[in-house]
Amino acid sequence: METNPFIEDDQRVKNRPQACTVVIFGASGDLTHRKLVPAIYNLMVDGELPAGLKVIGFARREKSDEVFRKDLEVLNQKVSRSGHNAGLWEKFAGSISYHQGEFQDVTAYESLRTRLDAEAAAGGTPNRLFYLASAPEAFDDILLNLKASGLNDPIQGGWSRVIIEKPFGKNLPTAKHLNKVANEVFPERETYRIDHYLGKETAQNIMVLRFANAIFEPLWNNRCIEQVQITCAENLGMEGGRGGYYDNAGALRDMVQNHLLQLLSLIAMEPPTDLSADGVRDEKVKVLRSLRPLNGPEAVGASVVRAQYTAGTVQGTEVVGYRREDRVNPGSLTESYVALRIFIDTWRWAGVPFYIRMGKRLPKKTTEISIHFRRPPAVLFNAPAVAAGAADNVLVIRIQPNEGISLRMQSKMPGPSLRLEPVKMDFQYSTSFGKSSPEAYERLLLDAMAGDATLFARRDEVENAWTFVDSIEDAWHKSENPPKMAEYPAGSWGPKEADELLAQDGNAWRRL
Amino acid sequence: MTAPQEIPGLAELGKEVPIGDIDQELREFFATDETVTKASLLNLAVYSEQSDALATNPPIIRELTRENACRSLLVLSLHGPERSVRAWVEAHCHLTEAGAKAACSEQVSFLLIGGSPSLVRSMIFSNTDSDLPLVLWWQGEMSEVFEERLHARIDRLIFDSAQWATPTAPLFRLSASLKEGARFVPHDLSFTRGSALRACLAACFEDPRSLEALPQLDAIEIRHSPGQQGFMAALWLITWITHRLGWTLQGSASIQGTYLFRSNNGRTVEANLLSTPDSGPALVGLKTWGAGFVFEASLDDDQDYWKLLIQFDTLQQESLFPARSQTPCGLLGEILGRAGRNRSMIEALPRLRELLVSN
Repeated sequence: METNPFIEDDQRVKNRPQACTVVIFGASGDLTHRKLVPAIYNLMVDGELPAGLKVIGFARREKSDEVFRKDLEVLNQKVSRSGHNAGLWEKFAGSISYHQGEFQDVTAYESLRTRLDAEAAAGGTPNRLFYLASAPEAFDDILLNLKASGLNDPIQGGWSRVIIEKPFGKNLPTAKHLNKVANEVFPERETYRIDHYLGKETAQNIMVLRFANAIFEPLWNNRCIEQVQITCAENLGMEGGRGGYYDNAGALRDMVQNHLLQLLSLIAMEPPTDLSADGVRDEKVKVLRSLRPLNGPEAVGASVVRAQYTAGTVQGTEVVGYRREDRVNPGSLTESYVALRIFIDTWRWAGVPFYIRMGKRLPKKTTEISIHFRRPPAVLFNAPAVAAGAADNVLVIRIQPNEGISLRMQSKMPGPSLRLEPVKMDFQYSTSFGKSSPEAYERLLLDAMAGDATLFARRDEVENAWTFVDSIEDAWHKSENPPKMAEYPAGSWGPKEADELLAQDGNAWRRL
Repeated sequence: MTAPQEIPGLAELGKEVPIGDIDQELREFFATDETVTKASLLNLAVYSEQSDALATNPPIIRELTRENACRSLLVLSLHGPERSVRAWVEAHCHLTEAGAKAACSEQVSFLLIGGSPSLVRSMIFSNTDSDLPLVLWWQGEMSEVFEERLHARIDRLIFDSAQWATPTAPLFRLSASLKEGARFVPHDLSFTRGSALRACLAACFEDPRSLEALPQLDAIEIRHSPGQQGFMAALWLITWITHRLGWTLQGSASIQGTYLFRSNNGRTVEANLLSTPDSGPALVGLKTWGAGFVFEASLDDDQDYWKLLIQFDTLQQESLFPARSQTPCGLLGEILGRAGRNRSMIEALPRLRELLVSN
């Protein structure tokens, strides 16, 4: 038989993961303990894991399998979405083992290969999924040693894939270098660059909203849409030693280059010809290629605002300014906030500003996309006398928290006078579907096991995003007259310069 | 005939309201309290002629609405000398993940005495939430109430063939309705009881080696709990397996629960449905084997997981698969959670009838 006769019709539409050995590089790290292993555990609890799946943690510390499992169990008890069942964990833990080795030491990879080959020869899975969860500085070593040891070559009847965690480089040259190394070791179709935002249920729903409903797509263009805003607000600062990493990255590189430009692509893309990974990614990358470049400090200064927070109060707690945070350079020129006005030079979006803002120490944690529609002609109900204070129609896609979609529209206030007020229709995942959404990592791991790269970034997506971001970084850090660094008090909605950026177009940031 | 005062559960149904005020009363749930919000993805009508239905169904609905927001219409229809209709409204509220608001599902309960099919239809159709699908959960034997004017308007029909004294006749009736163009999708809870095992089999045969071994199967053994519930679940499972494989029924042995099939390559395969002495979940185990190949699924001690064993000669692979809840709420949730696309059961229905009449 060529196909599995027991797969029912409604199961054919979902990715079916294949049994594999997941080798996690950086197995001692936070990501492995807090996200990856709990995600695999939850998949097992939900019955989504293929039979025969194994997990091997690869890291430099000396550790036995038992100690490794115990470490993982301690964290799983705290963070697992589905709770922790000691009996189930024990069975799950039987599939986890530890492989000690230095990332630079090829013999550790050779012994790993010997082990995997022996397991495959004994009837175990021939499929291998390598997960680069280490510090990015180690990516080159890991990739090159995977090649040197032959682990990148699929053995008969199997496949060999790699998942690479962000950041995908620090700028275009480093991204190109990483892509070059990765593609020398694995073909692009087996390279999975993970952006966990794309695994979020609401991000996946953007395409469904646009292309499965007849009512939105006809309006999805510059004739009906006035502006689009993408906001990613965080109330956290540099807690837990984040300052060390963040001060070398900044808001633009840390969030905009990857997550927010990915969301922008989903919002602005043309309908793909099909739902294949490349069908979707071809359209997303066209959006990135169409971003109007911001070359030179004047263009950047006119469309981008960068800022750092000063001391203030966030949710009732007094906090220090950015430059006084732990592990942050007191003279730092790294932005904790960035606001951009972006234009997409395509037929569909000509003239529509896309405003993106991302900031630390803002009043609350939220990520939302809002589509602001043009107002109707100023006659009848929209005549100035009637519509004073009326608001435009806004479609809001809430990515996190409280995932959902809302639509603001005008309605007549009850009563004898003709008074219009905005009202909101609200769809919330939690109230409509009840069940909790799986963690983004769960979905993405399953997709990688199934060989579906739709929700992963392709090489050209990453490089085009860096091309856009690098021109801004260059204006900030390499020009002689860089745009100034603005300030905002912690706990506020950002610097006044960001408000002025929108005010130039007669717009304002949406209240969140 | 049961007197109203002897009907259990009426006091727990919420607020009793005049039939004409149901809509108004439902609106009032949400008009006064800003901490609650209405949630609904479908209309779930539950029809029963068993006198304790209004006591047993509300707890199921309360639990079900945690993950399947719906407007439920609970109908208890009893025989009686005089026609009477009573109604109650209630809301089942669950705190959302965000925690700020409770999402509430509406429940309307009806006690119909001395009613007719048209009264049942009228109570259901006049109280559905517009634009949402209508799912009818039929409890117990099929009666004359289940007629064309009712099933022409429903999207999905849930029933339990294990509750039928002789399933052949009502299954024939269902098949006939579907042939005549009825558009509802039927769901038998007895079929759903096997969904975890079906998924186990599907997972097992994702492995190319297992797939290769499939045409060489010699035998299938399904162990089930005693009684009609276990037997119907096992019968559905063997129906589904052989239907998916395209095997034909050769005949049944003189022993109850033993069937002979001819596989596509002309082999004769024996299938045995074995009743275990212990009561418990409807399905307890599945084993199938051929030359050098064994697939076995058995419930673990806590009955939370299926333990899967795949064996090729000396190579052995074990894994776990969630057993899925076998409570009415769990079974309903399973059906509702799979939307309406799965036509596996409808496609296999003629084979089930074939097996039922052969043994």
